[in-house]
Amino acid sequence: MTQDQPERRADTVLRRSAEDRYAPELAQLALADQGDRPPGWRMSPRAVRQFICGGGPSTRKFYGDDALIERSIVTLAGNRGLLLVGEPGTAKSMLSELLAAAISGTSTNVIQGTAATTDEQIRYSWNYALLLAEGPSERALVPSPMHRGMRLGQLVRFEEVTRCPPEVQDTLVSVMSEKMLAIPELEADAGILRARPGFNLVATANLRDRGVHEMSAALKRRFNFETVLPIADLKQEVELVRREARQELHESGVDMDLGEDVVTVLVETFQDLRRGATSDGMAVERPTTVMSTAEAVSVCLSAGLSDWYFGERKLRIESVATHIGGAVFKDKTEDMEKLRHYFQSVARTRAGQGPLGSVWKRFYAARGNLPRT
Amino acid sequence: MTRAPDTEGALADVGHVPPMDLNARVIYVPVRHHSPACARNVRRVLETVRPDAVLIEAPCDAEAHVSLLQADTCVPPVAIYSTWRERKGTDTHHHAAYYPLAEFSPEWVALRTAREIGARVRFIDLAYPDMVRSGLTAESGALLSLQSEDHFRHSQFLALAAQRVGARDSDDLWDHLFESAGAALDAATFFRGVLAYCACARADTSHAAMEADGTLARERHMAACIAEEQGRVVVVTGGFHTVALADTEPRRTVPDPSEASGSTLMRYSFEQLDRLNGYAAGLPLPGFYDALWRDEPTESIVVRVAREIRGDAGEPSVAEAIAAVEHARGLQRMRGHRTATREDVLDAVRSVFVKGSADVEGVRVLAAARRQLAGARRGSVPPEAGNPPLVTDFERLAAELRLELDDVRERRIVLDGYRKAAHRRCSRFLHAVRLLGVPFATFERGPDFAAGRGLDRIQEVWSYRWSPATESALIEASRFGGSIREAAAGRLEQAFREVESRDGRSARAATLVLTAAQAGLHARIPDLVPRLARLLAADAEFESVVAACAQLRLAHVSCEPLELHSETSLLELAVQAWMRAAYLLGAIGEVPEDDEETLLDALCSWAEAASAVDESIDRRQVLHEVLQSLVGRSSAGPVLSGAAHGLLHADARLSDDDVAAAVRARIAAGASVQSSGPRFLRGLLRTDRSCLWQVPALVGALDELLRVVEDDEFLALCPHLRLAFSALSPRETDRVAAMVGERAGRPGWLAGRVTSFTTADAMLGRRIDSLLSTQLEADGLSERIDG
Repeated sequence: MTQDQPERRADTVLRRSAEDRYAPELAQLALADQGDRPPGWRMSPRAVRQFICGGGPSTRKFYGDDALIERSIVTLAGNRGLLLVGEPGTAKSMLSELLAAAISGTSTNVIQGTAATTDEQIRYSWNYALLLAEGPSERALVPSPMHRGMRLGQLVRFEEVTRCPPEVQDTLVSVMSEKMLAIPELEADAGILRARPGFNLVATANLRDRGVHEMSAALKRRFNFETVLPIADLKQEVELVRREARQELHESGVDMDLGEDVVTVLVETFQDLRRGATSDGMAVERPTTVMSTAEAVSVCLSAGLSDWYFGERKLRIESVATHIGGAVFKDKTEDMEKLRHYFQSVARTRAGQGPLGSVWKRFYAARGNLPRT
Repeated sequence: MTRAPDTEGALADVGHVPPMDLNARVIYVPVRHHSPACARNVRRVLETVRPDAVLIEAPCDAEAHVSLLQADTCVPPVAIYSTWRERKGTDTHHHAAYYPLAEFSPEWVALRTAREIGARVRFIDLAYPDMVRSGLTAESGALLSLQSEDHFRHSQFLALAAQRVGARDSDDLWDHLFESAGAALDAATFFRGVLAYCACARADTSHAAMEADGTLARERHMAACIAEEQGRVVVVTGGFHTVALADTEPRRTVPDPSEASGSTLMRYSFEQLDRLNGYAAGLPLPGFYDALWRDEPTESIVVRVAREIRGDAGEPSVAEAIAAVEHARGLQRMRGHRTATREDVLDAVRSVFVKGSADVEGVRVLAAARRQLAGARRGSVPPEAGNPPLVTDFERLAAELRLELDDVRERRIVLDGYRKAAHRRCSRFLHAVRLLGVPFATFERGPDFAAGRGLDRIQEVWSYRWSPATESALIEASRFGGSIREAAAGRLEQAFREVESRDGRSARAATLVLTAAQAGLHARIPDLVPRLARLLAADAEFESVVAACAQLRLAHVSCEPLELHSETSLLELAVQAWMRAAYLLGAIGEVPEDDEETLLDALCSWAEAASAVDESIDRRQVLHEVLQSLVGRSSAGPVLSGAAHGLLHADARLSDDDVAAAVRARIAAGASVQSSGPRFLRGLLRTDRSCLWQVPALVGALDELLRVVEDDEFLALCPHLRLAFSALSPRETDRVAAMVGERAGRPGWLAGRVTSFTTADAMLGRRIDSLLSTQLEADGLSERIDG
């Protein structure tokens, strides 16, 4: 690689955990915290809220509905798990990380749900060499993040819980209602792990995506659901998309400017399609694909790369039109129709009007770049 | 947290809110309308002080209703309904406003406690006409309330305070500060807090704004009334006024007795009190505050909500209800509330009862929760309160329009709305009464825009007759409002909501917009337009969207008789509907045979609208793009494909050869998919009959088909072919027949038909016809023949 690649010191990591990044702030909050703490919690519910929504020494880390944060905290203090649902790219995982860092001081008890997640990954497994040598013992047991959270009284994060097969998901039912884990291989006392206060589950899930499984009613009952919504503010999202896309381009060795007007047109298109209506109330067809902020970043990234290597080294709206199809069209041809309809109804009327009129005009003119289905 | 610079000074002022002195001669009690906490403390103050007089912020010209309001037979919610007919030159403006009272309204409690302790009650606000004159106005379309608390909602100061304590808005802040904590405070401390809250809002409101909306004029009058009162006095007013009352220069405005104004006491309902239903006078979810007033425990409220959500389904279970109670309590503790507030309960519902995402599963759950918390209480007024205002308004309008109510015979009137303004007003009135479902007048004929009938006519003909059923229906319709206009608006709203909550068909909603214009409810239209836009966006039925587009275009072209000149948004909506239809058209596949006719009608209407819907942009380009993709799509049904071919051919976007090739392709397959060819032909001929003689290959292909089919196949084909050719006029049929003759090598074969047809022949034919009919009738066969 080239030498302008940022040098990586031996003691740095690619990504630091939330409790590590915000350690001074968490310490300060805990020090000033006068409120009652639920058993096993590192700080009071109000201090947790302050950590996430800002106030005092804390900066705001989550943009959105503050009442949602309050509800989430209250849920975690009770005996039900918290299930954050919403479309991809709505910062559900970040929120779960922040909650775990503030409440338990650790956000690393994580189980990643996939179609291949097994029961052992949720409960425990064995170090087979020791198991064969010594027989079942606590030393031979390999604890899962869930096991660790229960033993230490900490929050456990379960990402993408609905990607697990239903029978694996249902392992959670007994853990959450009995708050204990049976380990029949071990002797009487050690054979039952009872959760310490402070243990609870923060899960994230996507309810509408492909490849996700239904949740059983029994499991649903053990969770309180909270819906995390996409960013509604255009300016905020444009800023975020530009920042993220520039960062990703930089990591791909490309340093280029992403014109605010071009990104604004892109993000506005995304917001309109996501909402099913333009900001001035005109209705548009909503594609079935998720028009997430992350997708907008990826459109910027591909368009940027193509302009860098094949074009004029600056982001053009025409390339955005070429690459936006990839974000909208995943597997349903009617989604492409919806995008085309958007060009006909919205882009066409915006062409030449308002401060971004010329960009919209070029965007509309480039509708031939949309992939044919 | 940052603070807006313009509120810096105000913060200091608010610190000087004086403590309440319960030993003063005149005690000022600041309240918020419909606040149970205020109501409770008003009662405590009155029972402690036992004043000689209780002064209430209510229109002084409604003071006559005090004894009715204090009667045992008066059950809240009720409202004082004030009206005023203002004459400006030759014009008359009709003003009306409500002053609602619920059981938990501080003013209601003041009235009833005053009776118990034997204190006299005075209403100290301006008379209603003077309020209007001094600047009190309603937001467009909303019902005017005499208890508007917009100052609180518009206060930036309170918004910032709400943000600081983590409340959603000024209402939530109020609940946080007073409804949940009020019971624990003594009355003096409580009211001092209320006064501080109101002082914040007042500090945020400019003097000019208060002068403009009549606040200051009203306060001067109130101050004058207070100054006149002897003995110990308790003054119950909105806290926003209390802040300034003691220091206001008194100036009495004496009502003009000759004014055409009046007020009535009428029954009211929680539905009307609920601000979420668009009634400015109200509060959100009055049922919840009713529960607070009755000291209903949170558990019981949550259980009621759970049962409402449960309906016929099994969820939420009792265990869920328990969890929701705990959750509400948890939120209440975390937010520092003594009792759970409205948002605490709603948040518990959101967290615990919604098993899924908020915008899918949550919608039904929250709607049910809101329904339960809105409550359904309705009040009643003593019989001495007289006729409900709707009946009075009906009689007044009828007299004004010279409609005869004393005659038991049916009368008929002819209205020429295009030329005479009075006739137009009469038409609006009769349409409004018709909309209310009150049996009074029948529309006999004339242009009915909503129904799309008689549009070529100019005059409307109505017949009408007053009957006792008219009056009872009016009394029943009083729940929609106190005047014909308001009630009709309420009924319209109900109908529109039905469309929204039921099938969401945009055509029906568009018709309601026309109905609104016909009934003179133009003020409601700006509110309906965005809602219609949403319905259009969600309507998945091509025919319905096209019909909506047609209705909206009709509204646009008929803007003169309908007085819709200013509603330019209707045309934009028509364009939106047209575009939506363009999109939906792309998704239509095979349609059942029975629906083909409506589909073809809709398609023709849509295609015809392409150039007519909006003169500024020609949508033919879009039309052609959509039709082209339809032609290229194999999943489109044969009728639709044929019609698309026809439309494109008529616009010269498809050549004769293209059409011939398409017909040949369909007809060649005819033997295997029998009806596909003729159905394609039906669509084609419906949109472009001329291709029959412009594309000779078409007749040729048909001819070949008929040559090869077997008899039984022909029998199956025949009805389809007949249907396809039914679009042709007799002359066109002849033309095609001549072509067929030529192909068959008999060019002149039609020449043999009778061309010299005399009057005598016609008479003979008629005679034969009538003889035949007589014979058939004699044989008892006529019915079968006619049928």
